[in-house]
Amino acid sequence: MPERWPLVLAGVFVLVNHIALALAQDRHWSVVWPVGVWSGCALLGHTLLERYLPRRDPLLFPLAMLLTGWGLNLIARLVPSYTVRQTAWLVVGWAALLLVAAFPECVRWLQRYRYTLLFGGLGLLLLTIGIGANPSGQGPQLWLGFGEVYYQPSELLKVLLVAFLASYFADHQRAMRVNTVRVWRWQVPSPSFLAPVLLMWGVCVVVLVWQQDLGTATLFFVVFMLMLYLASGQIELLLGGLVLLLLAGAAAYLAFDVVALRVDIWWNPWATADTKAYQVVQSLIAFGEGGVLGQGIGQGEPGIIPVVHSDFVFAAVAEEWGVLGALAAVSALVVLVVRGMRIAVQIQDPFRSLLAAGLSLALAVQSLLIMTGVLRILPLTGVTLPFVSYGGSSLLTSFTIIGLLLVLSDEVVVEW
Amino acid sequence: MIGEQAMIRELNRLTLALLAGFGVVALVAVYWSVVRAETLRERGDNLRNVHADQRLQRGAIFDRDAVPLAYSVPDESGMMQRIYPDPAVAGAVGYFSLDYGAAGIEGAFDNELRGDDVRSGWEEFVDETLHRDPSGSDVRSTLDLDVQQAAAAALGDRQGAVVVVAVPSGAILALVSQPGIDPNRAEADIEALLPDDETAPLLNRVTTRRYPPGGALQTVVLAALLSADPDVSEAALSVMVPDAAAPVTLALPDEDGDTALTLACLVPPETETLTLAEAYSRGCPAPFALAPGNTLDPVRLWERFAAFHLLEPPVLAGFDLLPGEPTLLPVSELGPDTLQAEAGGQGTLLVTPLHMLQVVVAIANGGNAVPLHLVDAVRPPDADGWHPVSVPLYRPALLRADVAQVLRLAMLQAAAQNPLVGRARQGEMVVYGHSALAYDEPDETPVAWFVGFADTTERDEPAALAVVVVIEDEPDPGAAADVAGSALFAAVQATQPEQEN
Repeated sequence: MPERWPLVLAGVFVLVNHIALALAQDRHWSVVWPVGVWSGCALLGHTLLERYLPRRDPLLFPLAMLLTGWGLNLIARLVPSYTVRQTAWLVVGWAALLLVAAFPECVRWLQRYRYTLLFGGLGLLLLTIGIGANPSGQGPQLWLGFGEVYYQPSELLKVLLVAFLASYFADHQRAMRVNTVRVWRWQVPSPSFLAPVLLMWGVCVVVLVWQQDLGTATLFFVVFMLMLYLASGQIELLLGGLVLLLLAGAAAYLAFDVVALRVDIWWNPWATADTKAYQVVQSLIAFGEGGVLGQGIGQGEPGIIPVVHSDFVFAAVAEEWGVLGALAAVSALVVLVVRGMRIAVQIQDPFRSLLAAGLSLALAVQSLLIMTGVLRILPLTGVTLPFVSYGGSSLLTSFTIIGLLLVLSDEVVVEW
Repeated sequence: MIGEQAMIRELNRLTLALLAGFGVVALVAVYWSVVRAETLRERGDNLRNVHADQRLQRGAIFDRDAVPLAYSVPDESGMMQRIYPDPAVAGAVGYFSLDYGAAGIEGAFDNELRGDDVRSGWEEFVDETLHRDPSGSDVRSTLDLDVQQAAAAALGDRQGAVVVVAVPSGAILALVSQPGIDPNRAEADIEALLPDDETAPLLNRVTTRRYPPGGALQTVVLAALLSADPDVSEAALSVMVPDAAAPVTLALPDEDGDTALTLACLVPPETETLTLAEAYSRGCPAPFALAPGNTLDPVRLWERFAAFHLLEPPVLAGFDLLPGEPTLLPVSELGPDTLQAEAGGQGTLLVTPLHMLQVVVAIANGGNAVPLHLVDAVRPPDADGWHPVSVPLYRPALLRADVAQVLRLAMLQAAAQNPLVGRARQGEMVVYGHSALAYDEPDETPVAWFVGFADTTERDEPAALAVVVVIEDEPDPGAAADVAGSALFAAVQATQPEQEN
């Protein structure tokens, strides 16, 4: 399937919604300008990708652009003052994607310099403990500020950790499956194989917990367990990890007020609907208000939900596009993830296969964490919805992931 | 390539697991958006509903002469502001607040004012889909702003109630409850006023506040006495009553049971023996408070209370008045002292001014009830004319016509002979009335009552303007007659052109 048709469809969707937004805002046509930037990125990106990666997966780039355009539409509607910044981050993310596409050997660097890169990412993360900042002026200081530009190192670390795990597990995959030790009734990989990776992963998680970035810590933990399962093939490890996650959750409930608060809100939001659980309850009301068809872009009131443009953007989608829109967003993410997993299946090289799977899993788990939190399936974890939520670091990382997946897909012919 | 082959299996499993995860997300999204949508939308903390109300072009409320009493205008942000040009109408019109709800006509006809009554389900769906801000219907009240203002001015700063109604239509021309609130400031003031139990400005003193009827109940007892005779005539009023002017001591139904209240004639006569009409006219309690068990079977008195609907919430068309607790025990459970306290209007029976209005309009209307109402028409958005509001046509007889006729005569004599009642006469107005005092708990604070009407019959078309006035903490029973006179006079003036036409 050629890439351009899905890209055209995505463009039509983005354009129609921006026009609808302008009409809903008394023909305020200036809200449409980001579509120009988006179209430039789409057109030029498609052209350059044709040159750099002619055999790439044809859906990844259109889907990423579709979700990003949808996000731009939402930012213009919810926090118009952030539109310029988010559009600028789109350009930065798009450039990163093309950079990765133009230099496919970067995949090899990720494997070769795994420790260096991971330590570098970890160093940046450690810097936030000393000189971290928060763009809003309050809350966890998870960003590094460069004048008016802020970057969240944990986003970079997400890619680097996945690459590190993929590289390490690829190197030891065969041994992990053969050299096992018996723990009670289970055969698990020898600790000699697991120790270095546990150490590296542990350091990352400790720093994140130190910074109370518990959403990202959860994301790292789950992705780590899933990649360990892929490498070892032992479901027991996954189940053990789940138990550990629950135990860690219980400990965090006792140790961190923010965790206790989120668990309490998740368990019974109605009791504190006008205070602590206001955000979650208003988010659920947004789903009710959206119904099947939604209120229409610019016609609902998702702005009632605090920080709707970030953590709760999925609720805004549901209110203005209805459950059909929410399902469309879910479907786009599903296709994105499944394509990524298909790439992983078809690549012969273990590192590249694990890298494709890990990056896809990172996108999938992040999406599931925030969507299940917004829908009160699980306690809320403060992560962004990839491509759609406001946030430059997240957008840059997500585009980088797509760039890497495109490079990996170019090496195989991905079956449908 | 064992490892690679095996990893494919794990990759496929994980892909399926992720699909299942996304599937759960999709299902739960459908659950909240479709299955629980209605419940979520209707939650009280759904601010979208509040904002929708703020954008709603709520209908206006007019008086009977199309003078606007309440209307909405948009502010700079497009949110509607409710304007009440004359706060004196608050007792009837009520208030509309996004935070505190609505009261009065605003509350009783909220559906019409919001436009919920004229839109079909389909139209509502289309409006919501197209995000059209709905418009409500205008409501035409039966109030006459001149009468309302006159009644409010006559009552002044005193706590109390005035209600004026046209008979036989039942259209209420004035409804004053004092102290009230400025409905323009409802949003700002209500929270501060809610705990004010002493003056209770949010309590509607016409429709909801229950007072001891005191001497005002003499009209009801007289009706019961007259009803005992199957063919009563004016002669019944001439029956001599020994010791009619004697003071009466009533045992009050307080917690201790040892409080007594001595009552005497409002206008002391020169002799102890009076006719029944004279005793009624002068507000002498003895013939009425001591009647049960002597000249009147208590059961008949209780039947009379029931016939006048004093034992149930008052009825005002379109309003859902609070039922309140039953305040009177069955007659079989009461001893002689208690019976006297009840007949003297100082027992457990408490009434609203609207209850007493039901009594007086029945007398003015030949014994038949009239459908009391405050609103007579609505005008849907975009409609040219007014659509009448259905008012109950059933007008049951509360009294026999002959009894009503004799009671009219008694009230006419009272207005002629009792200078306190006579204070209600103004100009050429023919007034029928009765003044009374009651004593309210806990400190036996005097409450002045006036119940009466002005006959406005023209060309054999029986008509009247009835009034009930209550003034709290007022020892002068004539003060209520003063207010009634001013209100009735304004009502006569206001309705004169109609009658001439």
